[in-house]
Amino acid sequence: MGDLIYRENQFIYTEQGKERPLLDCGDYLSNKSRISMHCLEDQDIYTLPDLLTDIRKQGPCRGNDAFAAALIDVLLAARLIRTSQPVRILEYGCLGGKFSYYLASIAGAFCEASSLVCACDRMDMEWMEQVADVKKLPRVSFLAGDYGDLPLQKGYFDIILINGTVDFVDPCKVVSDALRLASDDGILLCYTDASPLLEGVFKLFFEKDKREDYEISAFARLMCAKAEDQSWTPWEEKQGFEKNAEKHLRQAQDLLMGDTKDGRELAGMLNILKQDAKTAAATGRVGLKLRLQEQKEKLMDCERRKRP
Amino acid sequence: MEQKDFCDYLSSYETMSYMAKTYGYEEILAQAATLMQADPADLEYYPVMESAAEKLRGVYQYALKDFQKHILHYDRLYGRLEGSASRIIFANLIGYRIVPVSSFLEQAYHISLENDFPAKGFFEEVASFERNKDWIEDGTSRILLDVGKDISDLWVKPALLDKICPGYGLFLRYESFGEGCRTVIYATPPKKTLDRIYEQLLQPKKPERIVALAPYERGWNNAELVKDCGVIPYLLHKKYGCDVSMVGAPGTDYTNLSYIPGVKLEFLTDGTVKAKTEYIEKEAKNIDCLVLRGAYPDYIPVVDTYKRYNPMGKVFLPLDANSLYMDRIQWTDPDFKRFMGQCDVISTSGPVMQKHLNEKWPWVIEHIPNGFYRFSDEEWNPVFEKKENIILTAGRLGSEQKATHVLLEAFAEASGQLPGWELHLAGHVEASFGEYLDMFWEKYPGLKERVRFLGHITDRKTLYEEYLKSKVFALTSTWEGGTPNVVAEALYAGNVIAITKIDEYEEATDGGRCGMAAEIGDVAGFRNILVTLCKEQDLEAMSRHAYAYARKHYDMERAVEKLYSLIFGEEA
Repeated sequence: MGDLIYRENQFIYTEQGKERPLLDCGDYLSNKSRISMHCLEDQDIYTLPDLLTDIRKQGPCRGNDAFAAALIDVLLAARLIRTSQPVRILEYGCLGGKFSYYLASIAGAFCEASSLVCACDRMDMEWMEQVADVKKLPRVSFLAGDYGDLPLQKGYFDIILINGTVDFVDPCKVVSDALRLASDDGILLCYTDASPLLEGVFKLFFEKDKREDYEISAFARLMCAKAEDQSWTPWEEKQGFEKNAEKHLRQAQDLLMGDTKDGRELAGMLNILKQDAKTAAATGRVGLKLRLQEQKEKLMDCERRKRP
Repeated sequence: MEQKDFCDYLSSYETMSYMAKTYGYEEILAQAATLMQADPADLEYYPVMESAAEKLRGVYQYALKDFQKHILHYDRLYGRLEGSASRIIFANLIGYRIVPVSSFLEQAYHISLENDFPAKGFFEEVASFERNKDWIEDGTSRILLDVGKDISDLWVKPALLDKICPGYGLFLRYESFGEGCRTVIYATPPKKTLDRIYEQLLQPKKPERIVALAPYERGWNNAELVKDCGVIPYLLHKKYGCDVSMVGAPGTDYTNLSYIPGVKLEFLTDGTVKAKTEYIEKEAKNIDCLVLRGAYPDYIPVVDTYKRYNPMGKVFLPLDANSLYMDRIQWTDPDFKRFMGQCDVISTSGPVMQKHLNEKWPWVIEHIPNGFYRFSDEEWNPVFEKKENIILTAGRLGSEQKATHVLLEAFAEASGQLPGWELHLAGHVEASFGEYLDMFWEKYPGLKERVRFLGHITDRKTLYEEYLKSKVFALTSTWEGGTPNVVAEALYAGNVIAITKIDEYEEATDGGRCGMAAEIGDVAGFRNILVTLCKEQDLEAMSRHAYAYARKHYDMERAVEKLYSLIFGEEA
């Protein structure tokens, strides 16, 4: 099990005797810049050392969510500290807002113009309470949507946390969707808590040398990777569903136009179109679904006519 | 939960899955501890997986929690396993995780020895999906998955395999290995899609059992037996030998049952959801297809139960849809989404509603027309010359839906321009309509000879004769669930259609080629179309077109062929 220690002005992650420095605060502790950096009119003076000290105080308690949150804070601080730009953060699956609180706190502390979108398939009152407790809020939005198909702009987010305390039905779709939403130089954090399929899927997307793993407890893990390091594309995407469906539509058309219509061939094509229509329906491709339906009807008519 | 119930739940995977979804961790733990005569606190740390990489992860509490938390994935895997042996082994391994007594493992071991899976030869073990995903993706290798190293391996590894390359055949075994035993999945490469379909098509099949469940808290009524509700099951029996039952609350006077021989009526104690779910719970495994009628909330727990006990069973949902009702449905409601997601074939009877819903909803909506079936092998060919100057309507006369008053008023206004024409109304008259009728006769006493109420005609032959005698069929409904059955019957008899603009009016009139439509509730508009149609020079041609159109589009046997193929056509 891992541990997060603060030693000689450094946040260090340790696991099985091996140390990994995450953030060297040396220079920053003497930097009395006020943050939030873009809100100079703010009368409260909150400096970089204040922020780092707060993170240090807050954790970590080993093996629990607070440990994970402290780790996320350090990893985000290491990135945010180098930029003066507002960042766009997405929490993929926010439930009761435990992580939303930490994400909002750190994003707001650095730059109140940063934005945090917390997405969930349902609204939880606890989430509002958690977010209301944040002292310096960035721009926070809540989005209710279907996991795997969040209605957000492609490539918009700099940082995405996939919150694996949510029991995602299809983690593969979730990681794919997160990758769609991440900017080219965006980073993905994946927190898994007794969610082994999400963990397995994330590892498929990002091979060992392309990601950083942090062990929170026997069942929980935090993984971090750059979106650009994606090394795997799911089968459905790779097969190019739409391209294949178009091909099937053309094949069906050829079959209908041709002279010899073998019954088995018709039945086979009918089943392929049926599957395609289901996939199109499930993935919201309405136009394609209607075309597949239409062609399916024609094939069925043709099949019926062939029967004695 | 009683101890006896707990023991019953252990009898099959389906019931264990149900228990895991229904009862909490503590309750199952307590029951298991009682059965094993152990202290629950000790049982929680009992090792159920000696080979787990970390001993702590292999103890009882994590196994049970994993099962409960990821039950949908376990269910999915159960549905994916090939062959009955794999499923029995799976059930025993899960049983062991709930009550860790060796008899479960012994049974799993002995069934594994039967080893009935078809693939012999070398299987390559996959130690890491991360490293081996490229050759797995190729889909040509035989793969061995050791699914006993970690509690979640049993479902995670096959799920990952499916993500990398879907379609592998999965055979679960619990077999001897070294000095102990191990749980493995032998995965055989996915067959080429068409080969697989052909293979399945060539396999002999036993007759499918189909159950049509009545909606709301009622049973089927006599009239429904000869409408699509009864005719579809009947034709599935007649054409494909399916074993069909219509199930609902008790009813009487099923005189129409003689029209649908072979269809069984089964009665529940009453029509409550409880009675329905209990019936389904008992019968689910033997039902190949559950036929519902309308997307009513009462059906949600029924379908949940059906799919719980028979995940591979099919559900056919004819929507009985009209835009008024469909647009009121909150389709994003999680319960509704789950319900619709569990239905294998969803249909409307009209193409307009089909298109509307296909654009609106994320499910595939099929078109199964409300066709016509004659219940007789006699030659049927409407002859226009034999027809009389009759406008016919049929249905529940005087009901709010049928708006019979619109038809009566329209005919009364048109009667002066239509000498020699009569209006015939077939069907039961609602009691509440009496008052209106008294007023109508008072206002139009001269129409008593020209407006005839034929009463409820139970004999199909007599009813068809009325259709054959008429030239025009009128329907003034305010709304309809799809295309009404009477329209198909009328078209088949060569009746030209006068109809209000319900959702499917264009389909009913073939876009004006065999009828006309007026606005809903518009007496003057309906009068005009009655006059226009009755005086139409080409009424005979329109009548012929009506019949030809009905044969092409409203043939119930064709509709059932399509339905059968949609329900039982093998998946690609």
